Amino acid sequence: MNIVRLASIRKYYRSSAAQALDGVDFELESGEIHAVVGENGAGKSTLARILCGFERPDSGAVYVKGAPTSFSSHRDAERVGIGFVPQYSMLATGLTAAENVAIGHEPRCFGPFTDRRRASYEFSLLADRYGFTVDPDAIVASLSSAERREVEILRALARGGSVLVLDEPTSILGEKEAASLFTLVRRLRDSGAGIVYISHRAGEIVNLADRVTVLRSGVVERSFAAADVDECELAGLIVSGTACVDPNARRAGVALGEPVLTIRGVSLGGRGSGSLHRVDLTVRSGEIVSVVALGGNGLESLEDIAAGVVGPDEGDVLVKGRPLAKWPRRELRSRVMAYLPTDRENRGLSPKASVAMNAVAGRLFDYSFAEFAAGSSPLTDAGRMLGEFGVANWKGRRVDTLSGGNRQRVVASRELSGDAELVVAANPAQGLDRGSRSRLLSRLAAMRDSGSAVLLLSSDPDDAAELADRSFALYRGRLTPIERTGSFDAAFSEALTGAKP
Amino acid sequence: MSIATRCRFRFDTIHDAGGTKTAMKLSAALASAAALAALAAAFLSSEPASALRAFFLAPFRTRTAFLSTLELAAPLAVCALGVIVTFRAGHYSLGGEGQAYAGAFAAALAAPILYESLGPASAPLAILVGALAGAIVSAPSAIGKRLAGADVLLTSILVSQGVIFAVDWAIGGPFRDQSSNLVAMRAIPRGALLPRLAPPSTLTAASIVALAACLIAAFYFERTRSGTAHDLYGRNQRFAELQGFDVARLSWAPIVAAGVLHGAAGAMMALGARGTAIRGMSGGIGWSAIGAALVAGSRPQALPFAALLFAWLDSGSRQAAILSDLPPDAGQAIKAIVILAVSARPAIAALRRRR
Amino acid sequence: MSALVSLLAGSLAFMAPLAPAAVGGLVTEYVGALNIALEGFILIGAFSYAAVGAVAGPVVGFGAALAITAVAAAGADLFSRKAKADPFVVGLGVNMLAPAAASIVSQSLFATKGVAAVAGLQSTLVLPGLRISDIAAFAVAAAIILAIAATPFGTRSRAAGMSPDSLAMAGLDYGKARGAAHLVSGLACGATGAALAASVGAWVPNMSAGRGWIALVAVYLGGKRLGGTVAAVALFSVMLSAAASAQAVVELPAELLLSIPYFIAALVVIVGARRTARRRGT
Repeated sequence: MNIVRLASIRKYYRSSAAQALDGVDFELESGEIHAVVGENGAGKSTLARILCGFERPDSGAVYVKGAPTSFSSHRDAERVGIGFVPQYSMLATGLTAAENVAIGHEPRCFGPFTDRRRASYEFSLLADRYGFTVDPDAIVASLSSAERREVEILRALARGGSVLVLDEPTSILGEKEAASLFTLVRRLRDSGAGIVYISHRAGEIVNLADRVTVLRSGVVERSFAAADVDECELAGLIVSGTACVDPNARRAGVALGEPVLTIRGVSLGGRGSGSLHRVDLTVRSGEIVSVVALGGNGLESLEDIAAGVVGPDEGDVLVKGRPLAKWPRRELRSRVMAYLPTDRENRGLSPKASVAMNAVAGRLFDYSFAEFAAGSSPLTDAGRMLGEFGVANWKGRRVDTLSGGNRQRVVASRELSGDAELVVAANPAQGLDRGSRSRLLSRLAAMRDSGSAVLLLSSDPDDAAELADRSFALYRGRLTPIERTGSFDAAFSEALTGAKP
Repeated sequence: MSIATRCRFRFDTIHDAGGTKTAMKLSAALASAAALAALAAAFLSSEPASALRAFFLAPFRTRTAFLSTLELAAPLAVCALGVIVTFRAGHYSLGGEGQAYAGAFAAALAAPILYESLGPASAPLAILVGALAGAIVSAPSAIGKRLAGADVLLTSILVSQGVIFAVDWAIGGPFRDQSSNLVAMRAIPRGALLPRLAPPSTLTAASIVALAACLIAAFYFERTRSGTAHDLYGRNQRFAELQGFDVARLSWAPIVAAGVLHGAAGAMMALGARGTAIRGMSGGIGWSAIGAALVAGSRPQALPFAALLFAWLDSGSRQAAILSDLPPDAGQAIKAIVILAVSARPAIAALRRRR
Repeated sequence: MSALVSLLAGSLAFMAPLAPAAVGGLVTEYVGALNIALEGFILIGAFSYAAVGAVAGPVVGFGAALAITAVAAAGADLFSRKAKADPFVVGLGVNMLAPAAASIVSQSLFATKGVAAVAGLQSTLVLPGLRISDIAAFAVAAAIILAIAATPFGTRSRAAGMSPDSLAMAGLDYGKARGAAHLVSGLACGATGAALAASVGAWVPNMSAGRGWIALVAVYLGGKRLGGTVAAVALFSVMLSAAASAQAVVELPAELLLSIPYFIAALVVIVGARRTARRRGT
């Protein structure tokens, strides 16, 4: 019997002028794991948000156990046992774990007052039941990303748990944590819950799911039993018609050049497990060096150091032999270093400024006063740069009217359209669909081939595997080189999670 | 420049197409102001007809009245320009009131002295002195921001409040002209004032200076590299820093520039229509200026219109209070509601979308 | 000794009207809204006390001040949310509208746009420097403190400010949480305004005299936390009281003395920011 059924759901977003869902039918049986897959913008998250009561469909109907239902908020969905685990953390970081789970349903004492002890106690009970060990009274900001995920899952399970919707749950987890998540999901399924599992990782789905629904441009393309496909077929269904970067097509005959970025004995403290300890790293022209780390192991610190956002406590950072801090910032950024930050909204873009302005901001002072005042050459340049990366329809628009993928393309247009000698790319492909991802990675490879030094910082081992000439793992602030012999994946996962072989 | 070339000029910009929104904002402000003035006359006055006439016609009926309204708009526009300069750098300075008041006081103090030694050339110098005073009042906020990252909103309002008390004391105490009924300083000698362009109206060169300042600022923000960097810094400081802009300077210079403009605006008031510094003469100009800047959508090119609108509300309500029994604060209340109405304009669009 | 006692008594008299406004500013800060309209709401509270109190007596006047200001604050926030207007701009509008509107109503009610003294509205002294109205203001502040420290209202408000999504995940509406916080902060400003008007038994134009800003600064200096805010309020009260009593001792004019706490507060903000910046390691 199906627990939840969606019938011909439509949803249109005015702000991005997108028909997110265009007549979608969806069924969830109890005791099944139903994977929803598709490219970015296919409508997966919208489906989840409607299922969980965060948004109302423009038309169509939601049936719970056969009865037509309308959710006016997530509270209504909770009431029938639907819980949601969002892709990105949606916790109040200054409150405790127990407070976060209790919010909206706080136990009371003496009339209007919150019974804190009972909230903590209820949290512990719940955590025990699912085998979690999070301290109920720990402030969320002090928890690791895996622990935060546990809090999110407990919050979703606290009110019933007959349906659990997981949106890209493994995107911030390491392998060990992902494996324990899979165990939990299976256990919930076996106890009769229905699981909606949104992902674009074919490997996970083949192992985990009972049924798969493929969404494309807001319509259901196919729905089938997971046992009917293998990983390769599934990957082809998730992404249609995009060429991947061929990992074996390494460039031939580009000689390694001079060191462009040298990080020597760098330590950076005060960031907990994300502090750096005596990191040594050299990136030469004509090579891509990748550093892979899971959350909370110092990748952000290394990004800050390499981009010169903060200086190291100890050690040297040299760009072309000259200390990074000694470079005049404007000269460094307009001629030497391209920087694709992880935090695009705050570092990579000025979302409230125009798209064109974001594209030419890096070379603003290369124009003469008269050239800039006349205005046509910055505009032409912006058009050329944006065109190169496939951003269309940008005239007169602000960046905050663009979709996430297009925003990253704007960053790439500005940073990668020149011939920077050094590229610092931090999680450049995060949140991109397969097609955009492979275009961006190809561009990085092309820059390497024409003599750039590329430092690729990523929390996704796949980026490194596809692109890097040399790779390092960063675990608790220390670098370990990864030899490209034997099992690449096994070596990586050991180094990334600190497991000793 | 013909309208066609103006339009092309506008659409060829690398900025976003917010210009049309500004025009709509201005018309919405004008419409709501007129409607509110009519309502106020109808409901707050026992003689609505004469209140209406006074409000709508008196400021425009004679050439003198109209030119005096223009003169009223000049310091307001200069003040609002200061607001735009800080707001577009992302610094929410609320200290304009104290800076303008200090500028008026300093100019009234310096003008007679400068006049004795320099004669008629003293007026521009006295305005510079006022500008300097405004800059000094803005300095703690600028220094605090540059060296400590202190919140400009808080420091500017606190220093401004303190300065208002201090200048109140100075005008009412040691520098008071005891022969006058007003709590005011000695009248500035006629020759030291800004020359009047079209007597008997109070119009002075200040209005031309204000207009020029608006145009220069518009060019600065739209068409210069530094203005663009300034603007990008205001929209996202981290981004501007990573692009290699001079963020250290942008963290303080706009605040001081606004202090200069506010101080100069105060000096224009003292050396223009008022002829001296009077206690409480700033009369909320700092707040009105923020309102005018908002109505102008933070675009200097729209500022002359916004300032004129506010000047009309000021002089219209004053005339109506004299010629009828409309409460004199009606103008201030209308300004406040206009600010609220303009801030809500996107809502109308949102409502339309939902239908 | 007696100087110390009078300083402390004076501090309490300054603290009574400051404490509710600061706590009210803290509540809106919790939901992530910078409340620059405290000043305007205090004026609304003071005028409501005088206007309603003139007809119905001080007790009803006090209640009316709370209710009217709370409705005004919630209304301003509702306007800002529904009209998608920038809360900062709405706050500016309120600060301009409140004194002008009070003056207009005052003209038809008290037939003056200046000081309007109302007989019987001055609250009686229970201790030197401390009036019944001050105690009522303290009680309002204490009730709000209790509400934000120990009830779901406080947790939800804080969650709203930290991550509106965390509220949505609990099926709660961010807008309602924000509205409730503004309602409470209006209540608080109403108490401040009423206490001010009750201490002199009159409506005086611009009688808030920057207290709303001092309250806002107290919230910031207190690190946007309850304990810190209360400590900052105490500090400012002692400063203001010292400035007022210095008038009798030092040969300095009142207005010049009044300006000093503002300069000191600005200095404290800068020094405080410097220390936070150092702690963050920049």
